[in-house]
Amino acid sequence: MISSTMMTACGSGSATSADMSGQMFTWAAGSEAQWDAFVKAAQPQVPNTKIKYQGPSFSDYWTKVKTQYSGGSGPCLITTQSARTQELQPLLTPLDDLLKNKNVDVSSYDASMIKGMTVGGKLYGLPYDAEPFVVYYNKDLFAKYHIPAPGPNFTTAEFAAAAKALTRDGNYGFAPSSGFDYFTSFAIGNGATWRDDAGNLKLVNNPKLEQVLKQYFDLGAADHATSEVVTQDKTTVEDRFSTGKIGMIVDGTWQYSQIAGYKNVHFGIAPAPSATGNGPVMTEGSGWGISKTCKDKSKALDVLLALTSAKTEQAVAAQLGIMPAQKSAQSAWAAGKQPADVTMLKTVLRSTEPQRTTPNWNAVQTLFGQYSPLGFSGRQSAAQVLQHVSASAQ
Amino acid sequence: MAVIEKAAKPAGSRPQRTGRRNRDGRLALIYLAPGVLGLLLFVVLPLIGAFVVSFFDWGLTTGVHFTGLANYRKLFTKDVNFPVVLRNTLIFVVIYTPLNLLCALGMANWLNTRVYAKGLFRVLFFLPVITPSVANALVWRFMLQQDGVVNQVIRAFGGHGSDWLQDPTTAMVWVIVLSIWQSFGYNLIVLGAGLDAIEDNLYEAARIDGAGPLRRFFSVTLPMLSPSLFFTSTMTVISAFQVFTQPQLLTGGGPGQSTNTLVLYLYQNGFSFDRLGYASVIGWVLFVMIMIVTGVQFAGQRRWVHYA
Repeated sequence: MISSTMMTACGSGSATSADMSGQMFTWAAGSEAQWDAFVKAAQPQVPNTKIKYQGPSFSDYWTKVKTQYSGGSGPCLITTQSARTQELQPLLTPLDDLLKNKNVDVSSYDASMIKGMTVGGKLYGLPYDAEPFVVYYNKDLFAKYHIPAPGPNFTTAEFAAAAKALTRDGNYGFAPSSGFDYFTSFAIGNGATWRDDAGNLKLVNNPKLEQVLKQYFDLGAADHATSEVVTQDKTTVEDRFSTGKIGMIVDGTWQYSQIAGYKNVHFGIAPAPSATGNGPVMTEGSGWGISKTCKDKSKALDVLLALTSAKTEQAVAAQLGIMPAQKSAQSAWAAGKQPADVTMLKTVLRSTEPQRTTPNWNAVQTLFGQYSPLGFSGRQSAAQVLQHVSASAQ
Repeated sequence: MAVIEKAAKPAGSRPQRTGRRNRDGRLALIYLAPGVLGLLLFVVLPLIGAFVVSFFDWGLTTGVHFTGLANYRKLFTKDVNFPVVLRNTLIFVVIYTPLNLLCALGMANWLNTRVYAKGLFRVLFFLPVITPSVANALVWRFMLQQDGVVNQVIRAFGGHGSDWLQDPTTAMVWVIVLSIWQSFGYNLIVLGAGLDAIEDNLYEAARIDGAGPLRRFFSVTLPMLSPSLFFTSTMTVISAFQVFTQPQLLTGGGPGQSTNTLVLYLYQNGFSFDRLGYASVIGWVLFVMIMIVTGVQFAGQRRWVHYA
């Protein structure tokens, strides 16, 4: 009797584990349309495994994913980002051997994303998108104040001048986000880094970073060309842009479709500003890794490959406007976009650099979110903000 | 004599009383069991667990390493944010608690007079208590942002407005204002019930003795209301020490650390910074502080609380 009960329990456990192979833990709440599109496109490629998803909202995801897997179990696929792979790496399985067994060549994916999802020489995820950071600008405001529209070689100096000139009559040239991610796009374009050679956080004794952060804060502190800092958890820079009173925002191309839906804002895109005007432009992308606790990693990899296949990414790009990480599918992004923006994006992609992070990235993000309003208002210098964030994040 | 006494005592009296006592004890145990079990499972056990965790470097993804008193040493000697967070929490407690009680007491007194539609007012003041804190905080955040209602009104009168939640001098003020608005309705109901229970003949007697409104308030209302005031003040102090939702949603603890409080700091360390051991130390410090303050309140009640 006892042994039969135990066998039943084991059987049930195996069944659950098997079921987990097709399941993903992701920022499900509020993003159902996106995941439904992926599941719909990928499911026919793995008919024997049911693909399902679950998880909290995006803002809660980075905390919940750790608590979920600290219990020792969870869906086999964990959604990650190139920027977060370093942080989630303890939860993930290296994919190199698994991919080798299935003869998968990752050179079909965007190289910057593969680089972003590689930690310590091992690959921990496969990307579904590779989104560069661009400037979204309000064409009407630029025309109203006779300011030349940003071109393919948009420099930091031109960006600052435009932001200053646009700030009048209740309009603001630039709506900054409190997120460190947004500053890193500015830092990459201006030749600064926030990591040392070993991949650890290096915010202090880093004169270049301090100089670029000062430049960034001066848009508000010295030029008074920024709106209040947008704390991204409840409102977004896109919300501000939708009012028509913001000249420019900087964000990833994943926001394109949302911004295109704003009826009262005529917008264009340009590369995120850089010192030379020739980039590099920071890319961020998301994808999936396989959980360390996954029982059937081979089966989970089949699902992962289906979700990130060129066919799936092309279908989702055409439906939702993501920029696919599969290079052969990237042309699908152009569907439904303004032709000038498609041309501009090709220019943007000429020089890209993935955002690299540190294991304590969540702390850095939280702390920079707290301190950046002090920098933009001039209450604290760039050096003080970096000092505070660095000291508290360690 | 001894024989008479023995004869006078009904046979089997002691076993009967003991039996009843046993029955009562068992009954009490059954009644108490759910509460005690809940207390053990959800309060005592986590407290012990947190105490154990506080001696470890315990991360959800980084593993578990015994560090002895290192977390305690860091909190009290190295962490530059902890004194700021502690000061913020104490400022919040010291300002929020009396203002909350004053608002509740003032409104309860007003509603205890011949006010038209007093029931409606009670419901209106109680509404923020039962609406989700997240919704409350978001509405306030929209009102206080750069183009929010507050600045629009100020600009309509020729002012400039301010970045209320991004200015370290005003951010905490708004956290306190939101917290009072959101929670004084609960105290108002409790104190209102206490006021209703004061018998009119006490006021009548005071009036006959020539006591004016102020004298009646201080010599009749306050002493008779003291049990309710003790309850509300104790609960308000405890909730003030535990403030979390308002700063989390309104300011995220910023700008800088200007609105960060102990529970928010605990949450950040535990779940955003992945330092569960360190968060447990903060939790224990908070627990000890609340225990001491509540103990002092209970000890002091003998002097000013009058139970009828």
